[in-house]
Amino acid sequence: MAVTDFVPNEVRTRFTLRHVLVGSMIVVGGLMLVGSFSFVREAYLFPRFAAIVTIIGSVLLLVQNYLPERLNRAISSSVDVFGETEKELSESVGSDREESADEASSDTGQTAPTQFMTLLLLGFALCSYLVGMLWTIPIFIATYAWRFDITRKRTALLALVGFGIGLAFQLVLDIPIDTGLIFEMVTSRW
Amino acid sequence: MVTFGSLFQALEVVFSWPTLGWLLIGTIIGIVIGAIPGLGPNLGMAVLLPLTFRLNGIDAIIFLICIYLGSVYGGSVPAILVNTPGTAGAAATTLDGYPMARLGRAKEALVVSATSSAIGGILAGITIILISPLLVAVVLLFGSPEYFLVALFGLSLIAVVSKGSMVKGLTVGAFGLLISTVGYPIATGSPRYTLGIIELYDGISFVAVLIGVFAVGEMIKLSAEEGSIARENFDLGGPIMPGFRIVLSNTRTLLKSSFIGGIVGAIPGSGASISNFVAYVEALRSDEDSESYGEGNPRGVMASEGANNATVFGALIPTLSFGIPGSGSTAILLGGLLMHGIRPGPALFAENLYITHSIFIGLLVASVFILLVGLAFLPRLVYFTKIDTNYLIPIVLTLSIVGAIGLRNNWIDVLTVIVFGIVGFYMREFDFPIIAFVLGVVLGPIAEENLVRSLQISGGSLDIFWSSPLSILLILLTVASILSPAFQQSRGDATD
Repeated sequence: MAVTDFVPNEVRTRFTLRHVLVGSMIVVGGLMLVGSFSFVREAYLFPRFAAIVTIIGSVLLLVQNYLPERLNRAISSSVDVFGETEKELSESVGSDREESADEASSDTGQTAPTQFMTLLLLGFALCSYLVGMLWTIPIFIATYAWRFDITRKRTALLALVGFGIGLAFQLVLDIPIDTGLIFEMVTSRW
Repeated sequence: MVTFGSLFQALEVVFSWPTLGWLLIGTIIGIVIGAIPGLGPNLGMAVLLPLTFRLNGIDAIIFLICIYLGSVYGGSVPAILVNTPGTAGAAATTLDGYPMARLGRAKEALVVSATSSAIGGILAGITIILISPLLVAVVLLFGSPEYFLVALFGLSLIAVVSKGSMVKGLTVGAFGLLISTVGYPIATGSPRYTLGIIELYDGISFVAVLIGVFAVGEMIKLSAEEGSIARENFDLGGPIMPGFRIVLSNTRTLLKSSFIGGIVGAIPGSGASISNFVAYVEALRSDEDSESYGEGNPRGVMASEGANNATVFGALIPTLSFGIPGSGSTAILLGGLLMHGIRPGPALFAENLYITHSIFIGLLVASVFILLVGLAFLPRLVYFTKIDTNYLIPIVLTLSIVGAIGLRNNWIDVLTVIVFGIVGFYMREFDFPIIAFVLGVVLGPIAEENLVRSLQISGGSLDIFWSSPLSILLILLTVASILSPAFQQSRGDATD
């Protein structure tokens, strides 16, 4: 049973990723505001100012729907300095967008591409740190190709191109991306 | 009067080897990136920025700016052939470009687009070079307090003109400023928010943030969309002269569009995505045959394409003079400038004026390249509109992440690219103006340095910020831009 099963439906529909994003900004802003009290005058002025604006703005965005109508409108309003005609024209371009793969995958029960990509990227970073980025690139590309139904031949080609990019960076910029933490641990023990 | 000494020096730089080679390569890469729907100048510049490490400063900047200019033109190719603008700056081109292609005039539309882009850019470039002495005079009036105030004004204006609510813009702009405070501040000697991690002492690299937001975030978004493959085929045979003749017989439309593009480009937060519509609407309004717009009128293509390339030139004015980028692409360019030790501001208009002139002359030459490459490889450009973006995503991501470690050989940069790629994706999803966040990160150190320096000059007194007429004007402009939504709303209420 998932944790979200215990959350009432009403709360679940109101609590979205937007709230997570705004909430994260409040948490980061709050921690950095508290941290700024340990700095000398020249150093605290700027982060404290930025943290206060971030927190106030984020809180307003978080509680915006519970504010009086007038205030709510003031928060969501945007200034259009370039007139309505340009706006209407720009909205008419590309209005017939295809169904997104995220929407499509919710029907098939597959992991949504955006969630998959998020996990894949975090996995790429972790794996690169442990075994070396150069060796992780083909695995990363193969995993991506598997999820997005790319043929084996094309997967091999993409992996080769990716490995080539990594190798070129290593040679041109002289960065050691062929070793990771595990390699270093093993060599230091020997 | 134009400073001829620096102009000749700039000509020498631009026409030397390998600068000219980088200029051509940048323009071609830009055209290809622009022609692939879903990519664009921000992504191309962000991904290739780390690769410019080994180039000298001027070569790197010319390479990056040519990618920008090339992709703004390249965006018109899919706009005309498959009704999908390659970049936001070519959105208005679809309105008449695609109907022209459907009427069997695809080649004519592409020739009109290449010629208008080139001439529009050249006109804007020459105008800016001619008025550069005036810019020099204005820029030299600015000291540390004025630079701090102009950075604040830029942030407030960007928050206002960007898509989405102003509160969202100001909030993410401030969040960006906050992120930029990690590490050793330039003005004071003590580290901030480093959590004892040595890798954080150098701060969060804003180039890594830019790669994350513009490349990784964009790829996550693209992965959720169906792979865009153009299936339509058009006959691209026949002569190119009819397209030329159309442009040359409508010089008024082209002049006006180029002028609009240059002006709109100079407004922070606007850019080609706005200028092409403003120029299109103006062409439609002033044309006797306005009924034919939207049905395949080549003047519609001319207006949009003449404006969007001119915007690139206009956007460089606030970037080079005050360090305030007008768009995402100029934010990356600013990153490139700082990465190569070229600081925007008075120096670029005084002892280093030749660098500024080199950039503009480089763009003028790139505009000519656009015309030549655009016409010579016109039938080949169609292939790029047919590339399935699903194949590009893993390659772009690989370039982004390997590029991140290449920045400073620091794993924090890899984490920054990934985290801000994800954050950038969700900011875009929930209509937060991403440009305000990016500019917060980019402008943060510049604003803080000038704030602290001003306070050191004044002995801690805030009076320094309203001691000159220029400072007072900047404060008034900032207050007006922040209060403008409230004014607009109350005016709307009164009208209702």
